[in-house]
Amino acid sequence: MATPRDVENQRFEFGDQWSTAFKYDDTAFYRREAIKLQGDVDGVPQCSKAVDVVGLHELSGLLILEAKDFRGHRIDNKPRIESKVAVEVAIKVRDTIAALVGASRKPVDEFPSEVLVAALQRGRDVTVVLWLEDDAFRHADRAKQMLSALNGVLKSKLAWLKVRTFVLSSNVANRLPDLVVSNLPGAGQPNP
Amino acid sequence: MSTKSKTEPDVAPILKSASIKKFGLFTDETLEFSPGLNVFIGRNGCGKSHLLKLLYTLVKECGEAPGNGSVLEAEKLENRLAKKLAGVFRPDNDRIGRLVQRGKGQGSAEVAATFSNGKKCGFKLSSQDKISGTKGDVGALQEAAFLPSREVLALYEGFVAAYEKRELSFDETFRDICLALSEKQRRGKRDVALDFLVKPLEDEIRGKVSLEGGRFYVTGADGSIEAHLVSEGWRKLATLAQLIINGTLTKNGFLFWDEPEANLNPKMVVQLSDTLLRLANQGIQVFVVSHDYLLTTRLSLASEYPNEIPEHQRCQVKFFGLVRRGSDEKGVSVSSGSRLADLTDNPILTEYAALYDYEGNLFEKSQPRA
Repeated sequence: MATPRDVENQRFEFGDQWSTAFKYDDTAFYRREAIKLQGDVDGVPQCSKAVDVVGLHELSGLLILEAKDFRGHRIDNKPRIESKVAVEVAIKVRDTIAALVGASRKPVDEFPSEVLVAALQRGRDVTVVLWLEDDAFRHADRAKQMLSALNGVLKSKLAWLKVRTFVLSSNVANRLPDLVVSNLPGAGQPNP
Repeated sequence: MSTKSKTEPDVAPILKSASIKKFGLFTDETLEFSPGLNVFIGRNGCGKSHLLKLLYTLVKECGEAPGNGSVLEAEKLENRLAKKLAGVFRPDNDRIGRLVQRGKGQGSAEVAATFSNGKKCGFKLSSQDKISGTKGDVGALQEAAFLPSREVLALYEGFVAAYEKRELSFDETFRDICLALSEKQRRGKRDVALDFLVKPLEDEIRGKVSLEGGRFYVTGADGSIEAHLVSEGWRKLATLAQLIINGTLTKNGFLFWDEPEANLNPKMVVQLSDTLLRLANQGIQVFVVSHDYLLTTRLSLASEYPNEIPEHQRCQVKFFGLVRRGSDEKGVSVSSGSRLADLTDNPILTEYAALYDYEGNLFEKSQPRA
């Protein structure tokens, strides 16, 4: 029985090979506990960040997934695909991992925090995926070139963590096991 | 010394189009050029450098013809073209007929260029090395400079003399560029337009280029350094600076540059792309062969966002993609457009996409399935 997770106009359906796959940024732990790490530093607001999905695959290990959909944004307020997207994701990954460790030290039962932290141990595979959609990706070769460049930045920002990273999109082959990704109604349409 | 007759820069014609039949890999192609920046891309062995050399030969020789239409003048032009083709392409035993597309029996190539004043130049070339049917009444052109992919500043000293004695196995573009580099720099205070082109190059190489006693130097805060002791990337930019300062590259002049990105680091490639756009913006018609992703993409972005880039970089950019035809057909086909995306085949992008696929396959293998 697939577990559907809806993120950014897309449905991620995790199959039976996934022992867990949950929307971390929707968890009570994040919304009530981890997010309390906030405040101003030298006038700049700071806040604990969260990725969209955390999952655990029986063979490929821990998955940390962030999805961003820039399709259909009006040109005047269109977010830009640039290297800062990779930095933003890397910071979300950092904060999410810190929060998983924090959750494992508390009586949290909405997700298997101890199992997930164990999956972070040395020798275990950890994968970070940025799932990115943009109108510019209609041409597959151009999309691959942009995704490849972005993955290079993401990889460098997460080099400290020793994880595999990859940037995927619906217009290129899905490389993740037992996962089906589809558009939700209205995906890619201009925002009102 | 340059023998090129000078004319008023504002009225000097530039290259508008070229029709090439059965020359090298070009079976029958007509290319319409941008008055600004023209970029040729394609895999190795597609004839890009040959195309650049052919255009250079036409501009270099046809522009000097007095153009009175007499038989004598036509013969002179035939001789000059034959000599230039032999020098620039260096076929075995100067047999320029070897440049004609190979096929059964004898054949002939036909090349014609049209300039912005509507006048044409061109020639027919038989596989028996005979040039005929020349046209060369395009009027006086501004200077043309051809920069080979290998930088020339380091080998400048004594090059021309050794070349003339046939001691060197270089093609004639090396001799020509060395002669162009030997032109004296303009004296006095630089005008604003010239300084605008040269200053970014001098900032990048951290000094000014000078020719003293047959050697080039780069003089900066640390004193004078022999040009052959600075990095090859710097020498390339110094070469360009010298050609601008000594007046070789001027409005309505021509710059042909084969793989300018060779031996430049990415930061210098960014500087290079901005410089090429500036040159084109200042009225120099630029022709570039490139394999570089960063350079071609930046030039394409300049074309895609003309109102968003700095005003001094705005110019018309045109890309030409050369692709070898299938094994059953001869030669190359050419597609063109103002953006890289307009080309039917972009081998640089294809390789980057292939790199993504390669990494994707490795990534997928690292994600075992039950």
